[in-house]
Amino acid sequence: MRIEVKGLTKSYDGKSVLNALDLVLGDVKVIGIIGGSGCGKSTLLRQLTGIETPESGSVKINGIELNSENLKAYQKRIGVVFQKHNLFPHLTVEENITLILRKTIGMSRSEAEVRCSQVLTEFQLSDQRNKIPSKISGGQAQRASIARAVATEPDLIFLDEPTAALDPILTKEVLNSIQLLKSDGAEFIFVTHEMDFLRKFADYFIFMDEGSIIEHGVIEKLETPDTKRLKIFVRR
Amino acid sequence: MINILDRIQKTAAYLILISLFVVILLTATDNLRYDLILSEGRLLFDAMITTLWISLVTLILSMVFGFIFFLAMRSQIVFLKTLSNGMKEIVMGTPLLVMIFLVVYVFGIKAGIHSKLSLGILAMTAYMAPYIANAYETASAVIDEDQYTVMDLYHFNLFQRYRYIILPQMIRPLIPSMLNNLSSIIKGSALLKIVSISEVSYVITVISNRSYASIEGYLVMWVMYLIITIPLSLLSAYLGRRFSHAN
Ligand SMILES: Nc1ncnc2c1ncn2[C@@H]1O[C@H](COP(=O)(O)OP(=O)(O)OP(=O)(O)O)[C@@H](O)[C@H]1O
Ligand SMILES: [Mg+2]
Repeated sequence: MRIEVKGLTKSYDGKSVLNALDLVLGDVKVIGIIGGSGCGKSTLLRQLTGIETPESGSVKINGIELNSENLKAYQKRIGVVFQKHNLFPHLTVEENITLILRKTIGMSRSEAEVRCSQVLTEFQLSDQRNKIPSKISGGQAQRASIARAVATEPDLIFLDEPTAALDPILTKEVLNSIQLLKSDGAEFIFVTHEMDFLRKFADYFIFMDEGSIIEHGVIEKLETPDTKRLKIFVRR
Repeated sequence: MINILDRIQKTAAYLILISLFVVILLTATDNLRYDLILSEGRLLFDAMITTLWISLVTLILSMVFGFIFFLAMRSQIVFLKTLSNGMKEIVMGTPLLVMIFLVVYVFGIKAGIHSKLSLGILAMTAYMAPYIANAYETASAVIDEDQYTVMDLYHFNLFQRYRYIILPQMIRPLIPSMLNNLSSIIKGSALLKIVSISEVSYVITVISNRSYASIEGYLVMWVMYLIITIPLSLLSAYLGRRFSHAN
């Protein structure tokens, strides 16, 4: 993917959360965004997905500027996984996926069912397909939400701390699903505050602190940070 | 142990309520002549049916208009929002009696509508719609911010949002509250007697005027409304409990 962020600024209630971020990246497959709690990682991710609009500045991804004109087409080509699974609670796992396929991508019911079966098999959820989210484990629900994001065959997937709400055992299932994305060659951007998670999946890291990008680089660079703040963060 | 004690207390409370009720019915005045009212069983039965269907039609219509109201109240368009909220304040501050007069004798005459029945139902619908809209508002609160984020992300249109996500989740919390609203409508419909619609309160008033038994008339009326409203309220409480357990 190619990312061009220019002067990206966002504040909530007058408090600046992203301070005029600039970032140009070409040709990376998996990006991990790290940083302490409240430093603006989720806010940056929401900007990159177009879920929220910037106060000023611009975001261009794979050459597409995220503005009101392009947003719909862009968002059709991405998948987003949130910290909570965000499945629709009244729909079964299968319906959660087929609804999106039919209404967003415009697949027929039978096409959607075929595609849904594929992803459910891939994420080992076939036997949970007819259950609603409250009847499956948190790990299964999070995997289902990854399956939903992947089902539309997006060019790019965003994941915001997909394991933060889970215990270690359930986390492992979800990490396996993310491993699956990686081996499929999917391009994705994820937020985490765990270094293991980052090292395992990312080719490239972005380190944030207090609403600014302090350092970014290929993953090997983590061993020899330029900045003191990253040095401290890595050593924790 | 505690269970048995609770049961005894419950039974005692019910017994007291029932005896009080019976005492009131039997001692309201000297020389109670319920037979003067009850002898018109056929008329009373028809009146009860009329009350029920008028109320059901009102409920259905006010669910439709209430929904339009609800959409306007949460609209992005400031004009619609302000208009609907203003109308809500006015209607909610208006007594049903006044609403019936306005619709039947002001609106009805201006609009050239002569059917008292249609106008009566229209008046009750106008009166109920904002309350129903509020019930929709409460029911729609079960859909959290995250679900709207997902709907935005996938660009669901307004129809898709309501058809697939919002309405299906509103139905459960709505059922008990709609039963309670039906109960309010049934009680409210007693006022339709001022425009001579042959529902329970009008028919009983006519019978009791004829036989000089107006106290008996009101007591029979009381019992007839309770026969409908108490089961409705029990059903509503039961469904409310069942749904909250299921969640
Ligand atoms: N919708 C919002 N309204 C108001 N303030 C917000 C909102 N979202 C985020 N913030 C604030 O912006 C700052 C950055 O939040 P953000 O969620 O981006 O941090 P984060 O790096 O993802 O943190 P965490 O690791 O805890 O998830 C925080 O101080 C947060 O309180
Ligand atoms: Mg976050």
